[in-house]
Amino acid sequence: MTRKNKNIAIIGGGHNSLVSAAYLAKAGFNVELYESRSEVGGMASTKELIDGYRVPGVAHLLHQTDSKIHKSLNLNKHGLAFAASGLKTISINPKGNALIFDDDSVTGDDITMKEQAEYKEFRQAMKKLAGFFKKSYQTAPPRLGSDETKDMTRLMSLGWNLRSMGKKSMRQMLKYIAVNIHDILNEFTDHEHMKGSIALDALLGNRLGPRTNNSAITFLHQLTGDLNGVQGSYAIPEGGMSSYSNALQKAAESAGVKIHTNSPVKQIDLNEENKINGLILESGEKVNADIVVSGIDPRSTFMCLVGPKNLESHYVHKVNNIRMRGNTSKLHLALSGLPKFKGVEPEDLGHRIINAPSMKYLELAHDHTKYGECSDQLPMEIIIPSIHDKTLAPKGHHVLSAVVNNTAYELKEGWDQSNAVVLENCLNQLEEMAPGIKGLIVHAELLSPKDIEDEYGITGGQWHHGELTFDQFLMLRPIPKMAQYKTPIESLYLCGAGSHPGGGLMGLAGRNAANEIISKES
Amino acid sequence: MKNYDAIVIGAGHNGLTNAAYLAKSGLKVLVLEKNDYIGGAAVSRELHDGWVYSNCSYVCSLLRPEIYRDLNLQKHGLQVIAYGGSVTFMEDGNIFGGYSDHDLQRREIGRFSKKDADAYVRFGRDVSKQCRFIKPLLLRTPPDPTSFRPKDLNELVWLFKRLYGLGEQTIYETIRFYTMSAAEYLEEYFESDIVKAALSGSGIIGTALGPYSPGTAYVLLHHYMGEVDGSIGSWGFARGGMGSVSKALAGALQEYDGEILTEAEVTQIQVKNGKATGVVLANGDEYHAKNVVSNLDARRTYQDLFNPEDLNEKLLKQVDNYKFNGSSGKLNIALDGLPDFPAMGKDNPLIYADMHFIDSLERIERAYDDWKNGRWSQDPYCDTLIPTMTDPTMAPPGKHYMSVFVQYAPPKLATGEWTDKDREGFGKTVIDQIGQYSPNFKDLIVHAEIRTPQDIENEVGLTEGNIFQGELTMDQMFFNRPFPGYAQFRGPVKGFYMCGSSTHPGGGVMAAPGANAAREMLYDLKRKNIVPEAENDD
Amino acid sequence: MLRQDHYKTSVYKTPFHERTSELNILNEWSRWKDYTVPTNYFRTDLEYFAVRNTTGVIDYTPMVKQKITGPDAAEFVNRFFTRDMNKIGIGRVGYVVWCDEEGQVIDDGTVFHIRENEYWLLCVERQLDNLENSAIGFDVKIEEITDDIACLGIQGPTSCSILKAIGFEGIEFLKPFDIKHYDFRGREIIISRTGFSGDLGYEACMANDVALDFWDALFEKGEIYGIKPFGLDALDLVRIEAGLLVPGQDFMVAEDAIRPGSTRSPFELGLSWLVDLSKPVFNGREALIEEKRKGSRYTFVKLNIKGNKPAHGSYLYNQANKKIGTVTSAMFSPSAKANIAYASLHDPWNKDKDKIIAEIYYQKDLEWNRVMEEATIVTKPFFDPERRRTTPAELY
Repeated sequence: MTRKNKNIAIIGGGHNSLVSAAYLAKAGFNVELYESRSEVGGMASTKELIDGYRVPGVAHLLHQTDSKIHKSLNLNKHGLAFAASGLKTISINPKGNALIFDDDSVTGDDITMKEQAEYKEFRQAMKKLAGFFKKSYQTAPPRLGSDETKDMTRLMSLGWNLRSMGKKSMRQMLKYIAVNIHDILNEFTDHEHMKGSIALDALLGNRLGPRTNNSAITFLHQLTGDLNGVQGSYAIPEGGMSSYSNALQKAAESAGVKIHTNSPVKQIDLNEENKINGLILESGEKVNADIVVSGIDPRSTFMCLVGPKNLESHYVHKVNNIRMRGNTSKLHLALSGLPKFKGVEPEDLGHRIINAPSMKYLELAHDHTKYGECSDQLPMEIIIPSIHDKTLAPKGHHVLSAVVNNTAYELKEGWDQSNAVVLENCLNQLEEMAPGIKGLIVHAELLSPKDIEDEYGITGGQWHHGELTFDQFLMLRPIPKMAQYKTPIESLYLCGAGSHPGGGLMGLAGRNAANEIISKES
Repeated sequence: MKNYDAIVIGAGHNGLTNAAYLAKSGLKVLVLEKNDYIGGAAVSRELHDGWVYSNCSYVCSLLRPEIYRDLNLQKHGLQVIAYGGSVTFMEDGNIFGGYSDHDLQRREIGRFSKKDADAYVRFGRDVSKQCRFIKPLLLRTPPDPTSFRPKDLNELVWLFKRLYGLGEQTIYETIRFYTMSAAEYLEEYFESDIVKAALSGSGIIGTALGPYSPGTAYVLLHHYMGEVDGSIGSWGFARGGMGSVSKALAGALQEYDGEILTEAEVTQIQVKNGKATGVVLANGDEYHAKNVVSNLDARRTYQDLFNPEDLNEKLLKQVDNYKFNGSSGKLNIALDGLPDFPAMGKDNPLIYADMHFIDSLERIERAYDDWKNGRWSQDPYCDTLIPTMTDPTMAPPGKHYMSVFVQYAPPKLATGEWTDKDREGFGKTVIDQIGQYSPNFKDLIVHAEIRTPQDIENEVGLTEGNIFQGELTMDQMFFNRPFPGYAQFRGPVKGFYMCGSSTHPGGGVMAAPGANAAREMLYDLKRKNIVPEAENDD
Repeated sequence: MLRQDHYKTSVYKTPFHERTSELNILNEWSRWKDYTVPTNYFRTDLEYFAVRNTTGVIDYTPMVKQKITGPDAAEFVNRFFTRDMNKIGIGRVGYVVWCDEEGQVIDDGTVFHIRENEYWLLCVERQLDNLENSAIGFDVKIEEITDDIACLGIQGPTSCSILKAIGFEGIEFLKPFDIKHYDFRGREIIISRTGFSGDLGYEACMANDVALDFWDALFEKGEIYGIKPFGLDALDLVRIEAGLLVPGQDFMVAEDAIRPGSTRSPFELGLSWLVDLSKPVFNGREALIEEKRKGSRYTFVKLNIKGNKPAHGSYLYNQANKKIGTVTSAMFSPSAKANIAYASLHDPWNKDKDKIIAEIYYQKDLEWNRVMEEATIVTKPFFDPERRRTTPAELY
């Protein structure tokens, strides 16, 4: 059979699925994609908060994308443009002293020349290390212990990428990789506010404190992406986050992908030999396919769609043990006016505002997470997208979108009890940062990890479809022997963030998976 | 002024081991010790009339049998006596025993979960696999992964082959084992909290990490790595206290005509033209040698003993960044009799064992949170032993000596330096915890010596009281220990070496760093290697 | 609170202990997991001949027993074991092995399909952890019942006659691997025509409280049929003759193995007949398919060795003096008068070209002597009488 008459069914319409679909269709497969929601894009979408106010679904900033994918899918042609790019990060503390980060420079909060230099040195060192990650993100990781040429080549190229960084960076990599952002930052600077602000980048979306080992990995991970070639840069797409998904959708469709929305998948249909028949949709409809690619998280893929009975038990055991405990909520506010943040100039309100006054603050917040407690100190990343896109709110009104960390998925009290408490904590926290903001609130909503799980179908509400930790990284992601996107079910592949290299809006998991499928199934 | 071939600074067990091998090779060696006794942290001291305390370190677990045998330590008076098991007292009045008998252990776990009892077999197998992998590395020099020298490349290839020889599945398990938290790792095997808590204890000893911290799983090895008389998995007391280890090593050194000078505090290492030339003592005496070895930790060595001009800035920065994070305290308690532990029942052999009083992972993690916040743990993890049950010579007849190792105590409190009042409060916390499980314990106390990390630093010279001479985390292990580029025991100055626990493979009374450093020195001196290789178990 | 005085008794006595200890005139005991059982009662060879000639009784209560029940039990066992479990109907017993994810044998045992949705697994190593981890997604309940059930092996040519004499009607019609539920003084006894001797024989499982009654009935009715107890030493002799493997001796239990390469796949133990690769999924399948593709590392053989000195632990060489394997079990067979052994062969052994030479050590008046004896591969068990299979079973 040639590619032309092979049918591929893709489960889920998140950005990795769309990227995968586009590449597969371009390679000549017949690709159909099934999305349970009414629109594609998964967490990168725009939704209506209340009548007249629209907010980003979960992801609210575009960063950490891959410019190669951008180019090869021609996303600009498909309508992706930026309302704002090169956003600065403004970190405020209770004293009202703001630190302003702009790429490699930092100003504000009594920062000294020496500390500015320290920051620059840190950024440059980290970017270099992230460069190694980025290189290793471009293909499937090798299977270890394998004597196949492809695996050996991949392993050697990993080794070569490490060596070719030069002695200094290689040593840094080997020292830092298994440890934490707290220890690394302490080697570079003593400025507590600065360290807190930087550390937050390692923690957002993850379940870590600054001192938790693995935070080095998450920090470098978020630095791997680039926007039009600028590493670690932030932007807001014109027309909201959904225009990123829309561009991907158009790219996929123009390559020939057929997209079915409102089509939740119930089951991956296997014959009595455990080979792929296709899909069974919730509606009962059967879809025939030669190849199935799952963009949803690996736990749901195997435990719900394939079914544990159809796998050897060690796979079930391992899939069940993938740690995917969400820790991050989304706060959405409809506001009757523009709030004033302490220490932030009004013209800077369109930038990325964060609340991470020190590493200690973040660590204490994490201590609550560890035991499933509500914290009243909540690290946040805040943006006001309506400043860049007037269509999101009625005239003069605004919407605020905040990522709130350290709200554990498995709160001891349960989310039904706790949602109101956490929301109140968030609002109190915001009130401290922006006195008077409470008076502007027209409507407030907190999407807990539980809500994100329900809404977007991600187990645990975990953004990365599985925590990004050393033992769930590279060839161990999502579990050993499945890191090459292939699964034990013949012709079933994974393409979501649960696979190498993990989450973010890069789409690399989708593209790498497509490449593997193209080389295997042709 | 006197001339030697090599001078070793510090008569800790590694310094003595290093010196013994150099002397055995025929070099003229001098060991200089600031205290009026030798042994560093491996000492036996009579601090209360009739009672001998193992002041700091208190058990032999990883003392390399190859060295023990090679230096004939038995002849020099060392006898290590195996002791078995462990026991955890639970808040609900129950206990969880760690028995050395396989089936008894399984039944004990089975009281809490039958599944866990069976999982224990798989767990033991998996950890033993890691022991087998790691053991030969203890007596080898880590390669420099950035180097292209044949010696390093060969070692890297050897390592790679060894890893690949494990087979695909075990390679992945190995990576996971070294990077996961003790809690996560244990959760993949066990469902019962007490089993996890009892096993994870060994994962936090001496380390400023809680069981939820990734990178703590590999310390579970220690349970399985201890060797006494070659039998894997057992731990032992040195008869007469840990000082016997030092005494035996000193005996070996002296047999090879090495010299030891006590009350001789080195204040400076002399460097001329980029070469070490000798040392200066506090009293102004000078001793010359072409080789100078420091048994002190990396920070003390480089910050206190060197003239900063003799060192490069990069190294000084590395020294500055070297993490200690002292986290342990110690109580030595003289008892008028054997305390009762009613929960254990009559004649339970576990009275010979390690006793712990904390029964869940969350409690241990919270104990760690206290450390982070600059407090000693209010509900500490105490590794408690009554060595006199095994070795009655350490106390007057019928009396007992209890050694309590306490995790966590910060090197500095949030309120500032430790005060006498703080020390007392710390001691009280520990004594109260034990008293909760032993009604007559407090009344039996004749004398208690309470040591905070600060006390340990002041007396033994371990920075921040870190018992491993620097934290044993992945960024400070193997080719990163103490810092990248200096993991092969050589210092930045020709003729200068490090041989303490700050070097590979790190802390514990192993004697491996001292021996490893000697091997590299003999290599540089173009002398025949006499340091034993790890005995092959395969 | 949970009882915790078990430290006072390291080893349990089986429900038959009162009788076995009376008969154990040598007072030789072995530890078998939690229990102690006789190694020898009076003389190993006489105990052996009781099994071959009349009937021997062995207490194998320590054998680990696990019960699997629930609506998904059949599906569950089919995914857990390598063979096609659908072929083991209700009232049947099957010999099984099961594998880890690398296709290495964890243990072997027998599965009793006791009744609908109920299986018992009898084996050497406890498997609760393994079974429960495998049960995710299946509606099954797994219990360990080792300590609740007493077991006896009743093996030998007159065994059927004895059971019939006690009153187990129709026992002679049980085919090999059949199970029958009997009432014994108001309690259930499960009797199967199975065993470890390679001869006609039965195994009986019962609640602990009828154990002694059953034992007494056996020995009362069995006296005229020459019934004798036999210990573990004699058991080892009969099982080697019968061609049966013991985990921990003939292969390393994968769950205990520490060194790479020390475990064996079913193919490497000569147990391919227990592996059904046409099943769509079972534990170890992927790895076993891979092994088929790449070839196995070891070959398991039965050997007939020249001379009469048992080749315990012998190294095996080819004619070029290269080591090609190791003996795992060895004995001089009293029934076949042959020097027999099991061995695991590996590279560079060549099936078509190589001789197999065993390096045997034995003592002559304390002096160790070494001989090199040639061995030939045997395909059939050394002891396999027709009466083992005949149904109805022979009665006397």
